Amino acid sequence: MRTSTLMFTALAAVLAFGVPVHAYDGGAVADGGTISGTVVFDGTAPAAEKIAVTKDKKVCGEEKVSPKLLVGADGGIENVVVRITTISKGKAMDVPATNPVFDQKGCEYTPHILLFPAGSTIDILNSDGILHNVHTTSTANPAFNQAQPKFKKKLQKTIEKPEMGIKVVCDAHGWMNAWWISQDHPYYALTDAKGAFSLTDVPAGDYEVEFWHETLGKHTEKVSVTSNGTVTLTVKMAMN
Amino acid sequence: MPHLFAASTVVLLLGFMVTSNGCATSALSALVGVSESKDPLADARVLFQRHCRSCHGPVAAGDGPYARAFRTPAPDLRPIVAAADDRDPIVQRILAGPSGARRTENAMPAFGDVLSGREGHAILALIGSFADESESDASNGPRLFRNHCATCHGVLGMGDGPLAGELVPRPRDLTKSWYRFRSTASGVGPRHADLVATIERGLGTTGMGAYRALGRDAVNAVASYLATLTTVVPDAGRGTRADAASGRNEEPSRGRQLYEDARCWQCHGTEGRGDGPSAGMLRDDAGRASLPANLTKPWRLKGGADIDSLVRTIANGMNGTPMPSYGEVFSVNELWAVARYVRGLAEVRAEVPVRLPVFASGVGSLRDPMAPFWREAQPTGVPLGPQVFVEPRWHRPAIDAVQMVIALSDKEIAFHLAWDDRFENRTMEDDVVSAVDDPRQPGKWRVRDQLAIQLIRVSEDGVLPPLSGGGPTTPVTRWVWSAGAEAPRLVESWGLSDERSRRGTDGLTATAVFDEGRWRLVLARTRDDAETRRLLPPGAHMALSLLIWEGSQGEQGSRHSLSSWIPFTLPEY
Repeated sequence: MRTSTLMFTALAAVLAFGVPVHAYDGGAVADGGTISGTVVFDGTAPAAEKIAVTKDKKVCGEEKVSPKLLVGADGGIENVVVRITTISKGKAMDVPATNPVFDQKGCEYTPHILLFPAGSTIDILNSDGILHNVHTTSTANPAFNQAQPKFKKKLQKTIEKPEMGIKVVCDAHGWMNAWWISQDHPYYALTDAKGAFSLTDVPAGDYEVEFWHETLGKHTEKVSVTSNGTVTLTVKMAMN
Repeated sequence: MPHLFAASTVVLLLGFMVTSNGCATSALSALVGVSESKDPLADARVLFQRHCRSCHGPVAAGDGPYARAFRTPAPDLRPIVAAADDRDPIVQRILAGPSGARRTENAMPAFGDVLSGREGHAILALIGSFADESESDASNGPRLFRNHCATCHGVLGMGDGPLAGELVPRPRDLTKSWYRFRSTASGVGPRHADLVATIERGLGTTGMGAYRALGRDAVNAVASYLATLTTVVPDAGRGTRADAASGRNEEPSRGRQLYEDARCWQCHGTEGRGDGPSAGMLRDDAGRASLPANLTKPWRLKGGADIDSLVRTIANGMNGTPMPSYGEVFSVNELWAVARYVRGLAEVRAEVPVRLPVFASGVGSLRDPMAPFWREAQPTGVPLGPQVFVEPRWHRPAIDAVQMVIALSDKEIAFHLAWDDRFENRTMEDDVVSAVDDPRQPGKWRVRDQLAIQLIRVSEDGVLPPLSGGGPTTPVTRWVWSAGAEAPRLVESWGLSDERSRRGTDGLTATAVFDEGRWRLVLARTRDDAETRRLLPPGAHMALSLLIWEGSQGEQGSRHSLSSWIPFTLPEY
């Protein structure tokens, strides 16, 4: 085969197998807009589920409130990950000075949803004096299952690639679970206890915004952002 | 330009075909050269793996996990089949079991209720092919995979072979699953050498047998073929901490201390019997129940029980399971210390005992299983095997080892039994009955733990009855203990699935204690009692066999483990 044929075939092969090609260009954004709003539960929210603690009660207590669905008094859903799905140019990624911290305290993961830029090294702490293990399920990044007994106070893990939703569980304490979000760009937010979120310094343009909740699933909205303008969304999510 | 167009179209098409499941089969088959033409031995392979493998081994080499569970070991069938000019007598034996004098001690069951003569001949043809293959096919990875792996793992290794639904644990999807037994770091795939080790060693008493008998060349070929299904890490390259050959510097007592501090007991239990507080809640990455290993039973350790395998498993964890890696937690010396401690927990796998001694225990009651006399007596290990004599047969018994002592005091004659069980099951759940019909549903039901002792009087030359217990004219006496039941039952058994209650249970007591993943049971009778002297005549030559049902695995009815008949002689009393 001629070289050019070979190269074309190789490119075709690459495209057929769908290797995603995207890179983010971060810099200064002048006159950016804002996307903000609240995510509310459609209908009557169920009461928060309680889980009975079955072991290590001295450290873990008797009962835990399940973080799988937390809805506030006015219907706001906590812990919804809001992000612009595809954006190639915008504000610079905010890389924090210290590593993101993921703690195991009172047999709960804190925070329940951890957001960080791809490539970060996470400091995993064991603040309880008992055995936990950090067991991830992940597709883009290598998954791992690392024991963390009481004498290993800090474990460090680097997550190289962007990934939307790495699940973290502790096998020793079945109710413990959390999610890691490895960001490919800075336009990610987490709703607070009232369901409120805000994405600032968004360059003017049309975007798709995705709302993801671990129990309620995904929802997308299309928005148009204008310079110095604010887009306010009220998103309803329901059990399906 | 036409070449360009054609080449890129083909590549694009292949890309679509591979990424959309429907057409993957024929596309990949063509790519890897697995023949689409019908394998004439395909049906025989399913029958052999289903009925014969658990004793005779996956290539009939007499190396199945239960080959030595019964008094006559399961033989290597390959020379037997090769030497036979006429296969009809062998087929007869498969269908009707051994005849005549051989009947007594031979564990070979009769399979006539599930196999036809034609199927028997097909199985013998398959065994014949195992011998032929070792000469000709030793480097043909895809062909070997089709012959030995596809029955469970599926023709493309996706864990969907014809036998997959019957096996617990289920055969892996080799194209997607996490590989557990590796010398690489947590989250990383296996090396070629890891695959070879796993295939040769087999995985304990699961459906994945030991394929060492295929020969190293053949196993290498299969492992190389696996590299086309999944990502295999190059053999050279950065090793993990476990690869360091050190270990001489660890302090012997450190192991126990580390086991406690690192809380290995959380899953594996204080005595290592797999009964830790977390044992019942663990799930693997496929959402199936994942039981922590019983470290005292080395033959059941899937990752290998030798010290090197233990170090590797502890350091690297088992991908896809709750077993985490400790490589970043322990130093190399500490890894070796823990591994050595775990190795020290291992018990020796018992061979079928020639006979059981009867101890004189002096005065006092023997009914308490934790009494000092029992703790000091030297028990005899008794192995148990699968119940493969009546349908439904049960090829994956949960309990395959018991420690026994028989003793006579001035008041009682007593049988002390101890066996490992992760979970204490004292109740019968009402909805169990319908689930019981499908033995392939693991862990969805709870039935009682039970144990039965069968007793029979034998002649002085010690000719033993057939393993399947009583027959149409020769009942055996059975004492049955059920956890949580008020009293033990005395029954008469006319065959493994035929028992009738007897009157006269007075005087038979059962006392059981469950502690640290172990049942200890004493079945006792008052010795100076007419019924006792009738059942267990002074000076008599007797034999006993054991049946054990493990409740959490849904063992009920004919789903139990079974021991050979073990002779014992009662003293005059």
